[in-house]
Amino acid sequence: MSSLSQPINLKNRIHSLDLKNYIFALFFILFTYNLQSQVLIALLLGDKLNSGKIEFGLDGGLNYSSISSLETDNFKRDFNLGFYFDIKLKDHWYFNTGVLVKSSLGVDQLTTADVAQLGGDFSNLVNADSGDFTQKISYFLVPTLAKYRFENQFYVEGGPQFGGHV
Amino acid sequence: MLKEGLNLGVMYKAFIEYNYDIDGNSARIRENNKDFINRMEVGAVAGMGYRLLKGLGWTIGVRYHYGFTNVYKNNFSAKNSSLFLKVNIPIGVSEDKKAAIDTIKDANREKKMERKEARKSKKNTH
Repeated sequence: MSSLSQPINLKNRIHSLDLKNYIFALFFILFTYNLQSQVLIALLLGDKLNSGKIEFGLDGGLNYSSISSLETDNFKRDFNLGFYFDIKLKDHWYFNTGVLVKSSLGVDQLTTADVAQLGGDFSNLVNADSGDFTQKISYFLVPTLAKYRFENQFYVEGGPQFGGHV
Repeated sequence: MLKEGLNLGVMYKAFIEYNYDIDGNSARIRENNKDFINRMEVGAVAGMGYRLLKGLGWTIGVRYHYGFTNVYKNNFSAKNSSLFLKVNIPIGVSEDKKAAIDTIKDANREKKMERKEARKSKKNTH
């Protein structure tokens, strides 16, 4: 992990890095260029945030989302990325929180009635019938969950999740 | 999209995206409908999963989010719902944990080798 913090001092230390480290740093910068800055900061601070009772890490994956009461009920698939904290309360019990900084909810294949209702104006579109309309909404999501871990490493969790669309 | 990654202030968006791709002709049009969407989202989450490496490695799991708040300002029954397939990767693992992980990995490798050899000896006896 200590090698990950090198890009910060890259300007001052570039002469002292050997080629391998330099390539690694370059790769790291290019890679993280696409990540949200919050996630980058989290990566760099990861070492200091971890202790016996608190575990910290990256949280990411796929999500299939839908919105009720519209004419369509097709799931929209998207990637999400963020970080999490697992805080140990007592035996087996944990408090799970964090934030998904890059997550999008919505629904796929809206009908023309849906599109009109949701404020989309595609009246100039020639091929409207032969394309797909997708509603995408970017949220940051903050779970506040109670988590119970069994001895065999399975867990169940539940609780409220708060989100904001800014 | 590249620009977004370096912004410290986060940009959040909401839009209806039109995608058309037929006979090599493709189009993508985004129509912003942010003004129709409520800012707050509150929901209930239930999930389950499994932790690898005897509780020291990655966590894989599923989570279901069921929204209680209205998504749209002009539709009072539209709620979000989403199924998350997720991976949790701990970063910056403490030294004692690292040692524990190494011993588990070594043990797993040994088990694998033993199984391989057992299979080999089985083959030879036949």
